[in-house]
Amino acid sequence: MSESILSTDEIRLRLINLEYKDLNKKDFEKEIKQIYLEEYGEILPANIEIIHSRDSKNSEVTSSDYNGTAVYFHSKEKDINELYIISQGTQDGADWEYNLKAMFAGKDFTQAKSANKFTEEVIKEIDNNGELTVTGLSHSLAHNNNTTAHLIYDTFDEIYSVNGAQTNYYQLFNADRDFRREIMNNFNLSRTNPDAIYNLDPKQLETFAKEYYKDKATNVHQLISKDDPLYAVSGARGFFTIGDVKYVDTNPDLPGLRNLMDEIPDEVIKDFQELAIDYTVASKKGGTNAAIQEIIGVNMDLVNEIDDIGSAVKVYFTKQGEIDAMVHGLNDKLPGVLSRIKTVTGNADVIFGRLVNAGYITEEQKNTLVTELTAIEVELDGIQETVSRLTSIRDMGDFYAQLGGDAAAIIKMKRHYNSIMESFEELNNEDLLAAMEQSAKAIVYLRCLKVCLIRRNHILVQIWFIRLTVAERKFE
Amino acid sequence: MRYWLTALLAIFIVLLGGCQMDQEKSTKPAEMSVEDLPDVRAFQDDFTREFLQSTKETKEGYYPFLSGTGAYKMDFPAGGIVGEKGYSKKQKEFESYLVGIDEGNGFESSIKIDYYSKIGQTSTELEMLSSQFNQKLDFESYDENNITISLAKFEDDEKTIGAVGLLEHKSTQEGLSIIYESECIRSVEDCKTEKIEMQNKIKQWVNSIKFVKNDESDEEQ
Repeated sequence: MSESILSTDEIRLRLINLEYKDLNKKDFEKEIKQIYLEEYGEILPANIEIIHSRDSKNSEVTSSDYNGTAVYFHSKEKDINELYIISQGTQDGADWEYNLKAMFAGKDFTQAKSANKFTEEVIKEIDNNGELTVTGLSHSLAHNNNTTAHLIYDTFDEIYSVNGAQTNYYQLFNADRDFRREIMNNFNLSRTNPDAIYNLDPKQLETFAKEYYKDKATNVHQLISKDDPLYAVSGARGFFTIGDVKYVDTNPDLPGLRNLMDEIPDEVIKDFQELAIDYTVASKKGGTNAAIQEIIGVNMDLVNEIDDIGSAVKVYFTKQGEIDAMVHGLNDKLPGVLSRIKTVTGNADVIFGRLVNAGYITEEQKNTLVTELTAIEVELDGIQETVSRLTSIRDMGDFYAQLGGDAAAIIKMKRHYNSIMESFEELNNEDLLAAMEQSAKAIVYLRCLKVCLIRRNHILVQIWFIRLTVAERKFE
Repeated sequence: MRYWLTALLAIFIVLLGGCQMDQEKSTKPAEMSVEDLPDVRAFQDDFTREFLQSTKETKEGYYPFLSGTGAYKMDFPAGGIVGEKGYSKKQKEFESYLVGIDEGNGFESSIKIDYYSKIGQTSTELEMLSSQFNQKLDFESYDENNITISLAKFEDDEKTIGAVGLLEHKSTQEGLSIIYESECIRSVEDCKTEKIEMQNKIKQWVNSIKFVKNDESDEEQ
């Protein structure tokens, strides 16, 4: 077959962008014809059929969070028989939840499966016995979906992506049995330890994954802006970049975010990943307060009920069991979280200092960030101290001492918690936000780290991420 | 007369004892203190213990397991643990994890279990399972406990064997896939005969999986 109908980066990008406009079939078709005319100066020499994944006959595709559109170009006379699957990138909260699970924690692969199922369904539907080429087009999360599907199921002949969320070897370990087996054999992992892969050296895993999938990688083509936040995090453990990649420096005045992210020690990234894993494990029961409780051990619902000593005593008598559980939870969990926060504050100069040098944030803003982060650390330290004192009072076995100790501790904790929230208010200061938004998208990921940690409201995480995606879509 | 009284008393004691035993049985393993739990890997692991429903064996070497979605039950091997870091669950729609097992018979195994509240067409699902293998899989299909099971045995090398299965509920859209692989850690010679036994063990284990929603009339809300 001759050259494919969408032969340039420009036209492919314009089609990917079209997918975000939520057009009906008729308008979608009209737009494609218009774009073709503008790009090539001639009328589209093929018929078009459009199929949306939301119209799929398979309810497991329509009920999943995956979204995509199939565009089928065909013409007998012109020997054109090409199918394009445009998978949609991150759109809503559900997608960001998937991002955390799939991309950072590497545990969910359902959208990749749906991408493959939708493609297979369309291929069957348009069955025409001809030699059909199937191409995946993708941006952001969709690159992870399309490429993961391709690596496991051979879904596409070619994949073209822009600013993609890269494939993740932890995710493929969970989703692709042959890859899992090769990793186990190659690194001599015992089958008896299901989490053994998380102890392996990320660099070695990355090299191994690239080598393992190298044949399929030749069909993957990527266009990446050096200022894209997904590129900035693509050096984090888990991610591996495959295919032929064209890097574009879209903002030559700044050094690019990736260099900055790369200087953040792997330990910090690892802590972030652990937090992402904790978060997804915890949120399995639904509800953010439950997730926060799981991570730091503070029962937010309980703490929010307390205003003074009176309500503290009331809560104490009516919610004995929950308080017991909380004290134990805090004792178990807090030290781990604290040490992770300390990793971040301990590396504050590396992280924020580099952002200042590169002109992403001002010295003053850096100071605010460091001060507030340190303040949060101090408060968490305070909570930990309160808890350990509390456990010793409880060990005395004197009920009244315990009551007094618990009530006082709850109020203290509430005070610490309020201070933490004040720090967040400080961090939410408009100037700082604006500076961060326009200049340092990477810092969003750092903020997310804190937000995931302590903030009650999961939505905030999503808003940050959504802001990020909106900022990303600049290739119109 | 005194004899009857003693006998009556004895019966009461037995009955009371019985009641207490019942109470013990109904306590979830996750709520029991560690020293009361069976001294096997499955119970020693905090995360795995959460899924186990009782310390009473379902059959030798297996304990009752309820999935995190509450959608299916199965026999869980005493020597197994559920990987916490790789564990994933999305509400009641999806659950996926890897189990690592010290079989105690010279085999080390892993089982990958993926549950979907809505699974795709059989042919597509089997194709997607097959594409994760370098070898051709021959699926054999049979019915068990209101489930259609498609099962294919495989052999990677002289020491590693296993089975891939797709389990589809006959009256709901639920389904799950399993990949059970076992590596014989003895000499090649010893492994020869053991492999056949291990394959049988795998098949029996697959047949222990039951969906909680047993038919359409069950729990329809």
